[in-house]
Amino acid sequence: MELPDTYKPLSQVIFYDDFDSGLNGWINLAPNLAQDKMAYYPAQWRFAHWGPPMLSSATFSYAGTHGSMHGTYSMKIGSRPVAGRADEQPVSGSMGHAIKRLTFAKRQHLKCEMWYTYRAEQDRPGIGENAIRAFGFFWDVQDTEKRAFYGARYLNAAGGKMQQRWQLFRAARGEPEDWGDTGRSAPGEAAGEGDKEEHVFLQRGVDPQWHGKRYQDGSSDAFYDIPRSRQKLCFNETADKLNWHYFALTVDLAKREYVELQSVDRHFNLRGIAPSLVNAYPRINQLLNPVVWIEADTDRRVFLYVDSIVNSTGKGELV
Amino acid sequence: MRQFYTVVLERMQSYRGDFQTEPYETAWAGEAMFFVRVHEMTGTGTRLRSRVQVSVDGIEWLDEGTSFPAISEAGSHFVRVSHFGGWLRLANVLEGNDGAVQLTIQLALKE
Repeated sequence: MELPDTYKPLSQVIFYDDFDSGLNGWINLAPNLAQDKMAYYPAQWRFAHWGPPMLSSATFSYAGTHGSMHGTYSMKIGSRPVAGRADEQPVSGSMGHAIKRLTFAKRQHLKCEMWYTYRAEQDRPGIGENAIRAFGFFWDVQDTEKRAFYGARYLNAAGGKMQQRWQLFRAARGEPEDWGDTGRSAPGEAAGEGDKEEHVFLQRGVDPQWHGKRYQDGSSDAFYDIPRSRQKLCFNETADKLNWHYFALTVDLAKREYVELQSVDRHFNLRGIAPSLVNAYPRINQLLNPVVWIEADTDRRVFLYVDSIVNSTGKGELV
Repeated sequence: MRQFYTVVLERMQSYRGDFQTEPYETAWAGEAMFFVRVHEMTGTGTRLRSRVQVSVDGIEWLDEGTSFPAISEAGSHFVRVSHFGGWLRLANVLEGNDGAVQLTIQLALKE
């Protein structure tokens, strides 16, 4: 499939997914299963009910089928009609996720581009703009020493108040308990070699999309607020009119820092800002997992639509 | 080759009353199977009655006509549906006194 001119990838395209030909390996994000029974680790049940991805025609009651930017289907991720307070960590079902699982070969530049839009469910009057708390894209990536979470989130609203600014994944200093559940999260290195009791535990910095101490204005110990990043996107004037937006995030895996965020007409220089870093975990060497997600701010379902998404890598040139 | 996708709509989830699965878009698919796996059922005279519903917009729901037989104990069940348009969900009624059910619901879609 030929890449449209609307994308400006680095020298090697890792994948180009246009959702007119299936979900291309995107799947719901669910916790790890315990080793001794078919159940999740106790601390992780809260993460078992996020909304799954689906192929959407973007059809509305009184508008009909919007379709996607490059055809009929986009990948849609939805929340359930539930949300916690802005200063609480997300409650079960209040987010939707889609993840794809790869590995990577070289620590060099990595770029994600996507065309996306976002909506509140049209199940009641009102455009629902402030029903959407946040959405974003991140990579969970691990080299030989470190596991890192590089991500950008558009904080749209918090507690019903519009925020409309960009944040990056970067854990602030703090206590492990403030990060969230610190229980077992996966089998340890020696599990399967006789020591079935060994496990790894959640480290401060992992899964920033739902961990970290949060505050009423939508700021959080898990996110770094990009200075002067306030940006009003094209939400449009009614719940059934959607406009596709361009997003691009570039990071430097060699230096372990962000490089640039582009959102529609805005460019943010992110050099020198580190991601959320922890020590490497067993069994995920060279892991490269891109993730998109959305989070509700009220009891109204919210949706992120991804028309298409490209990940590319290269030696550092920004095309 | 025909496209295929199985989505897990409820994952070892517990309910004490009536519930519906979240709206799921199915416009690309021509046939579907709903699977209900009841892990545990408690209470007196507890019965789960599940029926398939369709929708034009994912908001207003109508019975499609296909129902599961009443489920009164742990076990796995399925139904087949076709020609269902853009959305599918499963509406579930839990009958009985102080009953609860823990279940997994999957929707298997094929082009």
